[in-house]
Amino acid sequence: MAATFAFDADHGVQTGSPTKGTTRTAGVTDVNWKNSDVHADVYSSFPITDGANSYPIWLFGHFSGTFNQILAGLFAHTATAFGAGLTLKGTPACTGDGDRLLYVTPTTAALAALTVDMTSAIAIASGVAVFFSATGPEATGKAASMTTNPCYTNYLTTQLQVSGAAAGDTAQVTLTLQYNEN
Amino acid sequence: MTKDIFCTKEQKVTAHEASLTPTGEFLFTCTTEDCGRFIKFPADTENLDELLTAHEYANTGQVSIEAQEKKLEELIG
Repeated sequence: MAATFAFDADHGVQTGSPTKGTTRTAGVTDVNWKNSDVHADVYSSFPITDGANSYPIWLFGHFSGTFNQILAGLFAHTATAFGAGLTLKGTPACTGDGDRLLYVTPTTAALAALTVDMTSAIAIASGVAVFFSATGPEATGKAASMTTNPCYTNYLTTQLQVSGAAAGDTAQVTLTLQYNEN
Repeated sequence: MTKDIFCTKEQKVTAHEASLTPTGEFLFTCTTEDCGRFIKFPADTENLDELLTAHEYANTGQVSIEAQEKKLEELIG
């Protein structure tokens, strides 16, 4: 038997303590950086104006099914280059509760907490460390490995920032979450 | 108007041209030829130097797949 994995995403006004999104979308198979925080909104109807930024995407990993332990999480942009004038900013490494990203109501302002420049594709081995916890991505108790079922990664938040890019769709890129299970 | 900032693509501190976006955000664009990588901060930023230190720490050591491919070509001649 193996763990069941899904990407989920939070949207909407921040709520609770620790904060999380009002809406949690399960089973996200692709994401589009756009001028909307609503997951179902079609990106072509919500283009990012040059000079502005997308709404941040508050993605996270969700583990269920059968497993003993989830560990060794890494996250990175691993394939396909962006065009000129595009910068992908992403979550910093999570090495404990102290540096896990805290959900804030999404806006199009540049999210300063996203300190990692994920514009270039890199090998997953060079990705940022991802920690895990029970309850949700917002929860405390983040650790490098987790036996609690279900468990969740910290928020894997990204935002596309635009300055001088050509109009039209970006290239389709790959974001990778790697983990070990036993 | 320029400021020396760590460029993630060049993996070193380079001169960045300072400007504003149409929405009033602070934009710094690397002036290295053919780079053009930029870094943007929200309009209400007060602690810029602190954010730039965090930016350098977070991005030092990145090795792009493009750079690895070039290195592989050099290694195998």
